[in-house]
Amino acid sequence: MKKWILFSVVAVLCLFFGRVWGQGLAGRVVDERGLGLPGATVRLGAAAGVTDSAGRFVLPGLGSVSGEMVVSFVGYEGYRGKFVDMVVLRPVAGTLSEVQVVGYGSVSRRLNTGSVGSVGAAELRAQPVTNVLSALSGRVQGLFVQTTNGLPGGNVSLQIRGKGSLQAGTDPLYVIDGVPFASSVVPAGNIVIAASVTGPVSPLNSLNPADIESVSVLKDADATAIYGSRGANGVVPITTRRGKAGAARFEVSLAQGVSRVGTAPGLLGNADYLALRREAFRNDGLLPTATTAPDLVVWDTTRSTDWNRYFFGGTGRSTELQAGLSGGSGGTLYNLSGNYHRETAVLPGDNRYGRGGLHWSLQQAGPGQRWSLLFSGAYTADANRLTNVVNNASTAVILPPDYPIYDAAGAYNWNIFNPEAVQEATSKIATENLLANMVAAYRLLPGLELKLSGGYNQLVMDQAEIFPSVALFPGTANYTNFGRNAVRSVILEPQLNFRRDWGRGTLSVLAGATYQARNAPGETSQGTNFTSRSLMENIGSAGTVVAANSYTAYRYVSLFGRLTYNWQDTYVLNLTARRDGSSRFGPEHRFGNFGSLGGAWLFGRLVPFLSSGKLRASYGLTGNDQIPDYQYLSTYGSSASYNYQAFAALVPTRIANADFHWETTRKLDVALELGWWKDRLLLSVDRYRNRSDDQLVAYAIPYLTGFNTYQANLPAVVENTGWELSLNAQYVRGKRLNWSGSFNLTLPHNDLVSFQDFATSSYAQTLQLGYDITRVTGYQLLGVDPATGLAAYAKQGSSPYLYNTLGKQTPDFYGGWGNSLAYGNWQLDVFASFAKQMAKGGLFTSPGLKYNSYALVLDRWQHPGDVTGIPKASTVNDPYFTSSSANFFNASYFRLKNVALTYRLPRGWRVYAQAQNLFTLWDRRAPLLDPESGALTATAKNIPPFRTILAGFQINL
Amino acid sequence: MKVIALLLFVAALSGGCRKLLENGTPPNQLTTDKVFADSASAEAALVSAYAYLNVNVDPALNRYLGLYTDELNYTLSDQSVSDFYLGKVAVANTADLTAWRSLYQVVYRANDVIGQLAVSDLPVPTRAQFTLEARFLRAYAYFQLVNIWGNVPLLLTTEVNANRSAAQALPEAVYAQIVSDLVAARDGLGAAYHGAGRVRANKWAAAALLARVYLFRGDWANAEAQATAVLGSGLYTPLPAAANVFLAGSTETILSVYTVNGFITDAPVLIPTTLTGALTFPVSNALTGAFEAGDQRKVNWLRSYVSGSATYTYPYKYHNRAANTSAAENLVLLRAAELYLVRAEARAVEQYGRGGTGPERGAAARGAGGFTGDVERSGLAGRGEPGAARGTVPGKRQPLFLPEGERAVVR
Repeated sequence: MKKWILFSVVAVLCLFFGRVWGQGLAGRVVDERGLGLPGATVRLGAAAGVTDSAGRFVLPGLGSVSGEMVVSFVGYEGYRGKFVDMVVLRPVAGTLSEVQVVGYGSVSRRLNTGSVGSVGAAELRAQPVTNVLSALSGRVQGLFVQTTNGLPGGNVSLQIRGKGSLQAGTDPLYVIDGVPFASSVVPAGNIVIAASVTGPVSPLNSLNPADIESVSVLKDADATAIYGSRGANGVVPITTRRGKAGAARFEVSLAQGVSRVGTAPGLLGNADYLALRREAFRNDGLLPTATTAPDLVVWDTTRSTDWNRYFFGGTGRSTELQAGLSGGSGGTLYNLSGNYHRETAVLPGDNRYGRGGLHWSLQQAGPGQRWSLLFSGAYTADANRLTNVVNNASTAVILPPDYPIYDAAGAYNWNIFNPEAVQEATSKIATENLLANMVAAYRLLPGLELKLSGGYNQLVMDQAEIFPSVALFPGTANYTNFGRNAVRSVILEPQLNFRRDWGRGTLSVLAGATYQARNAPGETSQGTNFTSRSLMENIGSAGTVVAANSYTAYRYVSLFGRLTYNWQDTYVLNLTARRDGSSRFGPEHRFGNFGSLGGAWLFGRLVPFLSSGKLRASYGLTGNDQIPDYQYLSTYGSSASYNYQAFAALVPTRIANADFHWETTRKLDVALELGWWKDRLLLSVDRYRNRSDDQLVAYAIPYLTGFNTYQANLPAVVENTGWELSLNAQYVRGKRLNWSGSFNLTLPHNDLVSFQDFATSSYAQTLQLGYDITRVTGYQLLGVDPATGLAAYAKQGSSPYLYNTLGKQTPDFYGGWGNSLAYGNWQLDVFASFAKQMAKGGLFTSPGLKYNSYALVLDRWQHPGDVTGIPKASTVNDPYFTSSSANFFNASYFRLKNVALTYRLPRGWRVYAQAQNLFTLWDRRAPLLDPESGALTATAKNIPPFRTILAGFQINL
Repeated sequence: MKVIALLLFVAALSGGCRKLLENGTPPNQLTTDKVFADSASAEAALVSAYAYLNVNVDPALNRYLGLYTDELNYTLSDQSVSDFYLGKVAVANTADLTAWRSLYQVVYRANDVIGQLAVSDLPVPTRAQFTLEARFLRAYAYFQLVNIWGNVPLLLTTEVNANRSAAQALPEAVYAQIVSDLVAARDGLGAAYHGAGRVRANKWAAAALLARVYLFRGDWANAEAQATAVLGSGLYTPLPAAANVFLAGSTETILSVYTVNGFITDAPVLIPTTLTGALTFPVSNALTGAFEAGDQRKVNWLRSYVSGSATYTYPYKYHNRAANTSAAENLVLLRAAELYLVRAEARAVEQYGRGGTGPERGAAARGAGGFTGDVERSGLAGRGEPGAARGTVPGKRQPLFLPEGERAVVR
């Protein structure tokens, strides 16, 4: 702690020190978003200067304004006119000029040596999504987005350039305005995750998408090595909105929408189901009885319910209100906004999600642009109340179609479970998210700037899952799970930026340090046997309480630097280095070095038919530290079975291994970027290879050490390679009509390259050398005997073998295709995403049991001689069938992800209609609820993403 | 200036980085250093190693060794069990692995107590008491390990990265460590038991185990001396009637393992619930035949029932197979009767040498009064000269130790 105080002292000292230097006329050059443009040339009369990394310039020696001001910057429309201290430049059409946010700075896409994708506010705001991450689907090559649960608050998983770790986490590092943001609040394996209908809750839900200015996706070593031990899985810096220069502008927008589940599984109708069941009894030579077949004998077979529609057929309604004030002049920029969002879910029963928040940012520059201060933050609170239909999730949609809710006596029918009663269970999640950030910068010398950036983030999540007796099988005791988990994080990053002309080029140097402290306390408890249902949120009324708490403290310090040399916008060399220390590792293994070397050659001017051309390459080393804290500590725990004399026994629960360190990923990236016709057509092709070594796993050790596993680095290499392709085109560019399009495609490949002592390891069956690490294993269905209708499986020895390769989870390819058409005041955006992939299906039993099945079982074996892949109907479950290749399906899809139509009115007013997940092309024979989210199972609450249609307007006052 | 500023940054960071990373230990987790900073929690960690002997080690060893030495038969067909009965234990036998693991878990717990207390700030007497008890437990586990598996790795610390690739040690080295641990425990521990009951190792427990170790190593003089010393303490004699030997308060007990509910963990497996149908682990005819007619130990320690045409005998040293606090039983590790046998055998060999014939050694034992204690209990005393029919001294092990299988095999 003392050291960061020292930093502050140094920073303050430098402030006084620096005052001596530099007199002159100063100002700042920014883009439309307020991001400084580094390296812009500024002339005023005879004086000239170049902007620094924050876009600031000083024209030395000038005390007063004289002559015309000329500002130019590659890829931007120049400025020519009277002197202003804040020059806002607009990019010339073409995305090469866009400024991309990268680690500790920003760089124009044209000069970037790294592989960076970015999604801007326009694309984000066209999408009616609750979680900003799901708006990234298909937008960036190399980024695979999977909305695994469409309910509000549901999880969205991001994977940048494939999964490189066998056991450690592979979430990217999220950095919001410079503050690292937790990718989960509740530790994995917690009861409050397992028992919630949303499963793991993505903390990024508590970020208002409308407050976001841009999302960058940093992929290769050049872009991620500056994040050192946390950069291996890619980094996602998120920048929130800042004020824009100009008169005060008050914006209000209001939108309303409806949501429904967009895809439906192909379940059997009542007649087909009953025929299948009767056939099963016939095949087995049995007569249905009230016990074995209430669906045929007891229940009214003429009644029928579509259970998918019952559970997921509701309509959610949403309302979105945003109001904000922004503007700025005289060195001040401000942006203040508030937002409110509410929606109801598609589930039956009482479901409400509400989110409200405030966002603020204030930038003030001192006289002469010598110093500047940015103060920004956001506070968001959300409350999510859902019908918690989790206890029977896997059988929810496959109840027999004639399953009655009430039995003959009028009581709830609990034969399988009761679909109405389970709606009495509720899940409540309330989250509070506070993000605060301050950046103080001071120019010591022309070209040398000292910056101190500090941030704080607090996320608190309260959960309660209430299961009253009425929602449970008769005779089950009622219970409530309570959870309160928080993450508090402080970060302090002093930085020095230096920029000067050197030789015929420009040299930029960044040096900085990071101190981060994060504490995450958590409590979970389960109360059982409450005296009354109305007291189920009062833990004092529980008969029995089992409670547990967790606590982690994480400290992180590091030194980092970057050196960029740009030789006449032709050759760019970029060197980054980081020395990281992390408390997650044993005392002797806390520090490590990371770095990268990247370069770009801009050869566009040399080739006649090209308007731009860039060849770039980078190589470097990054790390992954996503394992639980404190694995290097040996611990004891209490265990009643070893109680002795008067002592409550303590038993060893973890053995210390001081010798593990982070996983290392070596990233190699080569790309070619070409532009034709004044960059109206841009093509970018990336080839990457990431090799992850020193896999952090629970390493098997001999029992004589006292334990059978400990946290260690396994010498196994996982390789992710792939091609990424993106195309941007402006088909038509006119006064009234503009039509542009984009297309991107990623071809990922994952491979377990080497693994020490693989054959004797605990992974020998689940993984395979030379195959994808997302390998899916199961029984291999060889076929159905045409004579008997019985399924035959590949065997090892006398029994069917479980560990055959069925396929992999990594998609064969994925991408996105977008079109944007503007005519006069009309604007139409259409975006589609697609993926070719396989997924495990939702077949719950072999055909013929008392559960509904999917249409594909209509092709079952029925008569001797039938040649088919589906075995005959039987009342006895074939235990191998659901874990076999017969339950592994093509889950490829082409989804019309977003359609947005906007009509612009004068004064920036607009009216718009937007649709998300409008329609999906996929193989509907696959027993999945949705190809993106997958099948609904007991462990994965994969509720399909919603089709949302929304209309709204924005007015400016 | 810029160079100076840069240097200031670097200087500011390089020195204190390590300190900045201090994240302490999590307050909700009981880290090892906290456990051994407090005498109550250190003791709670130590006693878990004793408890482990009853909860895990005994169920993993007793019946398998009983099968291996033909004390017990096996009527089911699980191969990992029948391997022991047939005397051809495969390398991949899971029951064998479980037994091995359970003993090394005791070694680990003992080593952790020893290693942590060496650097703990607890009062010296407390540290000495717990450390010596842990050394006793370690010796006990190694004695089993070296007798069952021969060459075994000798681990004396919990250094995982050294231990995970530790090589096997020769039995001599293991025995040397066992003797060193036991001598230290005998000399350092008092005669009084720590806490209630005889469930914590004391001086005499160490001496009794040492007597057995010396006997196994052929150090007859020392074996006799240790046995004599224990028996001479007066704490464990006279021996109680056969029916009461295994009750928690038995005088004969030198060391037992505390049971929470008054029954040993393995009892529900060996003692049948209902006296019908086949018994999974019936006592062999060889064992039942080893008793002479009228031996009170046979009367009290074995029970039989008839099912169909077969008679099944089950061990009944321990009576409780479910909670019983009024007549609680602890798992007996060491008892005085054995020491009579040790002393007898030692004296016999000393007198006649190892080449002596059975009857000669038996006579020597009787002459030396070695059997007195146990023979009295058998109820055979006074029925005249026990005579040559009772065989060699080593032959006496079986009736003495039946169902305490782990001791019948050692040798």
